[in-house]
Amino acid sequence: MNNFAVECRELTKCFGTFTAVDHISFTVKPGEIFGMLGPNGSGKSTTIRMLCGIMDPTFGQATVAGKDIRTEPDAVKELIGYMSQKFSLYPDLTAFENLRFYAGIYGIPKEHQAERIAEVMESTGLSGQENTLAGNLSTGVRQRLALGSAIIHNPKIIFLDEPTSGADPVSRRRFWNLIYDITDSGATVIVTTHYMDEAERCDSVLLIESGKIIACGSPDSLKKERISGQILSIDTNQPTEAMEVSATLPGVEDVALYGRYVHIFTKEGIAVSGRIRDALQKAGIKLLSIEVVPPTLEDVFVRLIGGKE
Amino acid sequence: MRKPRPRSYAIFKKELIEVSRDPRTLAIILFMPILMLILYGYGVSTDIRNIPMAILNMDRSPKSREFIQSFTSSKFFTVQSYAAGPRDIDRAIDSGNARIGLIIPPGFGRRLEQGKSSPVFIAVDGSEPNTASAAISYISTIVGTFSEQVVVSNMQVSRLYPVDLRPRIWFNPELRSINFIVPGLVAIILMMMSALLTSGTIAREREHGTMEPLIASPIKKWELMAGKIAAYTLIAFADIALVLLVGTIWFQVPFRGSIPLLLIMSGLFLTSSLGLGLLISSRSETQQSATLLAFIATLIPGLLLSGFIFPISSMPVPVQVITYLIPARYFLVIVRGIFLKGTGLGDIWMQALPMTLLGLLLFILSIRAFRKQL
Repeated sequence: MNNFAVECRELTKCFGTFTAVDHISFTVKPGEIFGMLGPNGSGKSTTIRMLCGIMDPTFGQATVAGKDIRTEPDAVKELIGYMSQKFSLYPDLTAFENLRFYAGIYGIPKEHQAERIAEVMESTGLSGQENTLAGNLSTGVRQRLALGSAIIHNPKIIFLDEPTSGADPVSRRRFWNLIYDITDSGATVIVTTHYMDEAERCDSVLLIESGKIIACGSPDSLKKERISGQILSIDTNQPTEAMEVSATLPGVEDVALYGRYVHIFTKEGIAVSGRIRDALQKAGIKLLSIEVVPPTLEDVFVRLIGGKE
Repeated sequence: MRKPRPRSYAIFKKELIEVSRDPRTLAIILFMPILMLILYGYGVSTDIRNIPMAILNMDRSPKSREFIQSFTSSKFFTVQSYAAGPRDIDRAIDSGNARIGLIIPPGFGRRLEQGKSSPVFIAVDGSEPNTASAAISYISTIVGTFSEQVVVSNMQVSRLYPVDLRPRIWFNPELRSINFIVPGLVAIILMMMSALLTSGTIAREREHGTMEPLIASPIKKWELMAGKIAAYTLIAFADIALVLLVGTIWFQVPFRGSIPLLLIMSGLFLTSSLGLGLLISSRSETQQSATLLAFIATLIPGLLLSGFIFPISSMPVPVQVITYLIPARYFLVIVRGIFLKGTGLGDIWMQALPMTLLGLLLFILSIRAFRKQL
């Protein structure tokens, strides 16, 4: 037994010769929001599926809520909630019927069902939509309903696999408020995403790429530990050209595109900024502004993956 | 606290709601049995009536007219034309206007009155073997009866034949093919309906992405299967009731047996087609391919190899052997027996046993094939 909500040791999943998840080990503390950040196909969903008992690991061990996923999968399934990446509701059932179905599947006694469903409807902001067919709900509402289905039985640990993909920013914000409510009540949430702003909201973040862990820790500690030096943000009309020019300058460790901005990783700060100004002017690239910015998780991510290549 | 309802019940209820909201599935459940009843009830009548005849009477005696009369008075033949010469008979049969050509040679009546035998020539169009063989058997009966009358009237004594054949047809005295078809349809509809409906069910969960949350939930494999099976069994039984009602009320097919026995036997039969449907479903990626496969897997053996239309006894031996593997073969005998003969369990267990064993086999295979994993 241990005190972690989730503990993985060397967890591995191979599909034929392809290794989707490659000997990963990490722990999740109870009550935290644990984010898994990585590009598509990096192994996030596969890891979650193994932890939920949907797939067997090829190698390695994991405990969820103190239960071994290999030897006690049924005990694990009683204690977790899972919201899959796909639209995992029955489109021909109403919102209410979907929740009632999952209440039945999780063995909630009939006399408690109505009360619990009303509670979930209320907390996920679905009141008034009880009789709408799930297929007719908007993406944002649908995602909240899917979350409601995943928490109908008050699970201790909730796995959310890209829960907000395709939703507008307002819906995403609303969804994240629900995640905060869930962890406030003491449950643990494990969420995968490829939105950086969502990763910033997590208590801990696991950066994963090609099935391997690149970094793990709180967003703040990742930024402090992984970015040594400063980040200069350049605003220009020709970001691609500006990036090419800056990359060759002494003192510049790395460059990355950040929307229309170019981020320069450096340990020399202002001195480098002078060099860049000169170089850009010589190349005839108009510089709109250059300033030191605080690092973001995206900087960490780009830096770590870029450094690897 | 009360014991919670079984998880299967949630599945059962969900399946029924889904079916009731899907107009396509509803249409299949309601209209397919009725459509099949009408198609087979009216269309595929194997009764042979009003076979057109071309007649060349070269004798023109009262006896020859009496002979022709014995054909026309039966409902099996109608006179299409009286020919003037043998050529006309050829032409009538070649053109398809007549299927039977009858030539009565000159001297027919005279020879019979003298107590001699007289030949008659009959040409039968064999291009439709079913009609031809039925026609030949009707003709020999008619000719036999006619000859008997002639002999009897010549001898002026009562009949003295050592063998006097008096066929009596049991259970379906009018030989209505609808009485044969409707009970068969109970089997065919039950089989197609249950396989078609269940085949899509697991593939649909995969398509909608609802399979993953189910796998991540504590529901057991058998609970999931049981809920689905219960729902589709209920629907299949509703269809049996529909076919029984339409068959007995509209088509006036007699029902002589026991309804509980029919329902029990149907339940046993269902294990095979539900099993087949689930087997297909758990191995298919999409609903579409599952439905197509279920359709083919039930239609061909169901219609062609079960004895529904074509008698198994007239199939080549290797094909006959294959039919033993088709559960519908046994159920057809059972359901026809219960319908038309009112047979009881004592008479049908020989069919019920292999049917049930095959059903259980398919059922176990389907449960094994379905893995509660991705």
